[in-house]
Amino acid sequence: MTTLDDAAVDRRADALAESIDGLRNRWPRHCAQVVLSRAQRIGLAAVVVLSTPALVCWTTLVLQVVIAAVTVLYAAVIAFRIVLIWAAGRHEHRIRVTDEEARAVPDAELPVYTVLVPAYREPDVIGLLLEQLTALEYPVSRLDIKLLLEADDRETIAAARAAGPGPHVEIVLVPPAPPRTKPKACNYGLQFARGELVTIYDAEDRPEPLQLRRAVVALRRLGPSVVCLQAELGYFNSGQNRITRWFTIDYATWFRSLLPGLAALRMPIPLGGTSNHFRTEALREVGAWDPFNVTEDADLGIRLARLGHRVGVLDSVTLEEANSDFINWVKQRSRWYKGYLVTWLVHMRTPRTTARQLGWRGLVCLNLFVGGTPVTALLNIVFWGMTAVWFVARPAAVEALFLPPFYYLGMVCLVFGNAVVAYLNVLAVRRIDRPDLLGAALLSPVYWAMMSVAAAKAVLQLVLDPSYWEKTTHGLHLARRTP
Amino acid sequence: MTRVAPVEVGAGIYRSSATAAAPRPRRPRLTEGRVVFALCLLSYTAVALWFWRAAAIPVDAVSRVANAYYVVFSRDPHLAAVGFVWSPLPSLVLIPALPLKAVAPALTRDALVAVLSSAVFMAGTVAVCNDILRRFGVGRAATIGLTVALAVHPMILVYGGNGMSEGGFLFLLAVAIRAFVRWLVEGKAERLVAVGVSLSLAYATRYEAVAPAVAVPAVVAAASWCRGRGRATGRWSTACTDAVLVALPVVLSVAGWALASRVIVGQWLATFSSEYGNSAQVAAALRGIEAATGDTLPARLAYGLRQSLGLAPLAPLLLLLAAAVGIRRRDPRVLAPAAVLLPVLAFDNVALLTGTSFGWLRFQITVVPLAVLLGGAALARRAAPVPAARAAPAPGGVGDGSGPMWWLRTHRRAVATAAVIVAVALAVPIAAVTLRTPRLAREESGWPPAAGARREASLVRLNTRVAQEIDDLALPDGAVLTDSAYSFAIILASRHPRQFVITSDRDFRQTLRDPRGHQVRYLLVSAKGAADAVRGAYQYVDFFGPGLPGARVWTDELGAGWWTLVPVEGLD
Repeated sequence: MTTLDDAAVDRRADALAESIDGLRNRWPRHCAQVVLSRAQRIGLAAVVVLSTPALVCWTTLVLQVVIAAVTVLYAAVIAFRIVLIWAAGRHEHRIRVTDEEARAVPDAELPVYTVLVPAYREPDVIGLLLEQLTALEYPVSRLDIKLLLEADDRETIAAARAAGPGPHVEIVLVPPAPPRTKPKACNYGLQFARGELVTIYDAEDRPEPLQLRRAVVALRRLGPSVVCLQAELGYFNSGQNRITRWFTIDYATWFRSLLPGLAALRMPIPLGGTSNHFRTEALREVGAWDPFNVTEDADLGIRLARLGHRVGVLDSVTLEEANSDFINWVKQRSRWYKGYLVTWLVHMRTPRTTARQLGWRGLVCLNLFVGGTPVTALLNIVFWGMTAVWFVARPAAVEALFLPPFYYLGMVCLVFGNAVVAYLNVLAVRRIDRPDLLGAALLSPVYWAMMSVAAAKAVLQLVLDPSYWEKTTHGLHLARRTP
Repeated sequence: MTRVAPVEVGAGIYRSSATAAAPRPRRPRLTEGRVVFALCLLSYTAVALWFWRAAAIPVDAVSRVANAYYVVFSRDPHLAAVGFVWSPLPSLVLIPALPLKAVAPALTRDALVAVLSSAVFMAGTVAVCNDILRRFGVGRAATIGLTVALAVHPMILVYGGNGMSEGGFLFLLAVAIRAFVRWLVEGKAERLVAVGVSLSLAYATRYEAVAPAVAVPAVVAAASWCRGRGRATGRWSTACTDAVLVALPVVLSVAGWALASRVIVGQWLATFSSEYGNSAQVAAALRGIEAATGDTLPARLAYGLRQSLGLAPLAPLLLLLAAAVGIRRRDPRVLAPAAVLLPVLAFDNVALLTGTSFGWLRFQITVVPLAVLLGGAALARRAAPVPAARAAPAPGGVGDGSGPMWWLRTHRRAVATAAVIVAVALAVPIAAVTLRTPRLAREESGWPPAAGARREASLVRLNTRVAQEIDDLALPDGAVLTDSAYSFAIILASRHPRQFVITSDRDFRQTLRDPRGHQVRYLLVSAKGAADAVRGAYQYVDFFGPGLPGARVWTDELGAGWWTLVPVEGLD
């Protein structure tokens, strides 16, 4: 016979085990604990072994082929981006729930809603967070807020307790165990979730107060095939400096154009870090978040699509803190890129199965959007470098690498591709009615150079430490105000 | 932050666009726009076939087909072979149709594909203008009346069938106007993208499009500023953003084309700097041009006015009327046709005044749709059209007056409509006269089967004969060196285009320096081409070339063309 405390200890141990191994046990091939599968390792080794002598013997030819392939990929990524924005612009693809509709549901008919808030070393923002959460227009009796804090993060725990959370807020202490990632904490919290629906907010988030009600109405309206809604993310400190202005445009394009475009073309939607609203049952069924993937959100979006579920884009904004510091920005962005690459590798382990599950549309999205985004960000700097070298020194070696058709294609990408993407940023600025960001939109190429740096770091880290979670520091806007 | 409230003008008119989002029955619908397009396409195709049968297709149109032809069928097929002297789009759009020459050789041999494409584009122009008129809500009678006045305008009929680039140019300008009108009504930023992209494509069709490319962003910025609310800085940045959305595609189009030209042929703007370009041609033909247009500013001004008023006599009146109506009703839609078409007209007339233009009548063609759309703007309605006939009491019924004034008041709308249609349609007979006036319509007056057409036909026969006889020599690839800026029609007519080494071939310069070393066996030179590169390199061929053994000389019966085929063997 066990005591009540023993039962609780067992329950916690089970929950921890499930939060780490749940996905691996259920869908071993979907887990990023091992980045490269055996087949991928063999394939990679074969490519290296075969290409090295080829590179030595036929250097120019091999490089010509590589550059040709990369140019085509590049052009495809740009073309895909344009198609997405075009598709998003044709009709409204975000799901709209008016204020009246959202408020019309009687409290008694609202489901219990679990809100997971993972936080790690955030003692400064935790009080603000609790304030933001009380602003949510949702009956407290039906709210199940779980603050997921690492058990050894004493400062944050103390700050959270000091803030005096109400009875609907539970502080869940995640036992310290590797991997120390946000998805693991979320998985742990999910074990204790009471809600029929569940969502995640980051510690610094400011969700729009009606968001939970809108999600309830939208999910009911859309029926059981839609298991997740992604709300739009925006920034409350977008005017802080040049970086936050670029970041705002970035998000505006992402959430107003690219994701709705994917929805319009019935493609899988890589989820964004927070404000995704799930049906709890379905989330558990698909194995929840991959604790070893540093963009568990994007990975989950693809997995949902592979397992036949649909994701919608909800017209409701959560404001976050835009990263205002260059180093901090690079850390965050490189984590995203690394995660995208890992996600791409995970889902390309069994290309035929993935192709069957996702269909050609899903495959296009996975390769051009998930894989293509970090790869093109990295290639930007390589090609710009080559262009600069060519203009300055005109070495024949660079000229020899470009076969005529790919040279022209590359030139079109360089001139028109970049210009078109900058132009689409101007359009995004206009769409979100933030004309003050016009200058930032026109200067986007500088931002792309920053992205290249982040992508280079991501690739390096992918090789050295694929599951390492590069922590983003929050509250930089506070530090500025109170020096 | 400012929130821009779209102008509510004509909110009720947009039934067609409002229903676009709603699910529609699947059956193909016979909409007004489609009927207009089909009828126009049919008519302009008939005109196109007439031009083809009469062998009266203008050489510029033929040369445009040839530029597209080199991209696919020359000895050195590559995209840059489309050339940089003329704007590329009119040639590029033809490329997908070129393989059909296997089925219908006349498509390329006789440049039939050019005239068919202009029929498609001009039909599109009329259909888009018809749509704009419906968006103005001018009422059914006026829409039909004005559309017909545009469709049967002699200038539109002729350029709908002769293969020149005016059809495509007007089409793109019309699309830009439509997007502009929609932006003025809906305020959606995406419409500005459409305006910008249409103008950038228009630039790739005819370089006059730089004029609206400058004017439209300015007008867009002004309109954006006027409709903005809130603080001045916010309004200013909104206006700038809107202007950038329109201007950037054109800037890209201009810069991209110039850059490609610089990289590939070494000249930024070949049409101005090339020995084949517009500036060189105008300079060469200056005396002839001045004989027609006059050589003083007042004379040229009078000439330009006579041409444009000869195509749309009441255009200035319609402009004033439409502007007055727009100002009185605070309806900005009149800005769209004015901002797009007036600058083109201004650009061409300034070129005429400064003596840098041929002063062809076709440079005034934009005045035709301008007059029609201004007529539409003058009749534009604010709200959903209420059928006037239903609102008016039946004749002899209860009325509060009688006599002509009462009749005018109750039928004001109908009278205004009739007056505007008459004012616009007056252009049709007058333009018919203008087109037959040789001094004003120096190209067009020759096209009805008169001396000009006979001249063209005789040239076509000559070119066909030259091509045939060279084909009969059964030469290998690259055996005939020629400047395709002159011999394009012969290359098009030849069954074996790869036997020619042409100007766009990447080894043309080297071959010109050492023809024998490049296995060239003949030079094909024009007798009159001032800038013929082959003739320029071997000037003495004019004198003793024809006398060489194996040389051939061809002339047409009217003496308009003259070709010499000189064997390379005899040049030493």
